[in-house]
Amino acid sequence: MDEHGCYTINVGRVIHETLDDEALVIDSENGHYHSIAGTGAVIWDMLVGAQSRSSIVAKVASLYGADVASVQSDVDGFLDRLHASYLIIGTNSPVSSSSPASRSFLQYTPPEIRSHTDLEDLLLFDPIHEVGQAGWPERQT
Amino acid sequence: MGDGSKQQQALAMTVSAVVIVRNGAARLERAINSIVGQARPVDEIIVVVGESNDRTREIADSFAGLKVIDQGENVGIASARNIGIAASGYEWVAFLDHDDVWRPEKIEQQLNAVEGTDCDVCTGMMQMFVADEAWPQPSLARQLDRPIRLGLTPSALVVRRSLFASIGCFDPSLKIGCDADWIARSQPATWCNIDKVVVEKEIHDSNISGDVELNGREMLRVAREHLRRQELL
Repeated sequence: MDEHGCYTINVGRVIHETLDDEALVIDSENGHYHSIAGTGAVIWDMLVGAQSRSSIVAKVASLYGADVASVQSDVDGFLDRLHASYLIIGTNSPVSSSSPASRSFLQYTPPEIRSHTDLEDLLLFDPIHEVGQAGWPERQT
Repeated sequence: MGDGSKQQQALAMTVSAVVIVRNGAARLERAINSIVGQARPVDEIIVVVGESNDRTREIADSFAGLKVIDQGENVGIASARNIGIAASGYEWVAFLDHDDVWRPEKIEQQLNAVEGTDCDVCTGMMQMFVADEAWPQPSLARQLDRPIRLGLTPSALVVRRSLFASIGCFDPSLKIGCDADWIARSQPATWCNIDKVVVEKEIHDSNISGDVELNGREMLRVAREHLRRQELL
């Protein structure tokens, strides 16, 4: 990815949700799921919008009161891994994500991703049921 | 082997079949016939009927010897399965959704696989098919690119009834993900898989229309809760 380009979540491939400072990400292509906690979850939420690498580094440094230089390599490595795993993709247009201001920022820890494969068959199974929001839906006509 | 042991062994290989159905008149007879036609007969057939506006109940009642139960106000797949489990009286429970079809040797092959073992769950392979060839849809492509896959769906399973007492039944708060949740919760149990197709699942216009967004949210919950359980081990 060009350093002037941006990254965003690969919404065509993953489903994700952040709860209690932990992002859970399911890769619908291979059935792997990933847990991203702490600083990693903060970065993940930034990627809901499209963000440049430098913007993410600057925001992380600002949020945790750290030097840009001290978080640069951690963030680079984290983004590289997300990108290599197809969980994020490159895009040209930056888009602001929702403000993370309401989140708690306890302490900076290098962003990490824990990947799991033990539900692979189940998550790839793609269950078929006659179900909708209100229960089992009416037959289509 | 003494008489007592023989009786215990005989009881250990008994099966309750649990069919769940709602507005399934078009396919219910086919499903029940696939149970009735088993090479190794089941010991009882329970049909749990959700509120339907077609001939579902009439078709269920047309078969002699079935235990037909109205689902009542407890809507949803999980509640239907749980009603069937509660009504079952034999050592093993085998589920069948009304739009699925058991292969004739399913029960025989699976009981042979678990007999004399400590297995609590047995599954086999599942084959997807489209009966209505005039109904091709782009969304079918993903289903049919792997038409035969491991049957991680209740219709493919036989489950030792006592397992429900130890890990619980299906979670009614999950409208779509209840099956995946139960299967994830059953991972600590002893599974055995047989490399034969035991069930066929028809892809049709009403079961492909599931709510994708709700499914995604529920699968995230299934994965998150599974992760928490793993961390507690």
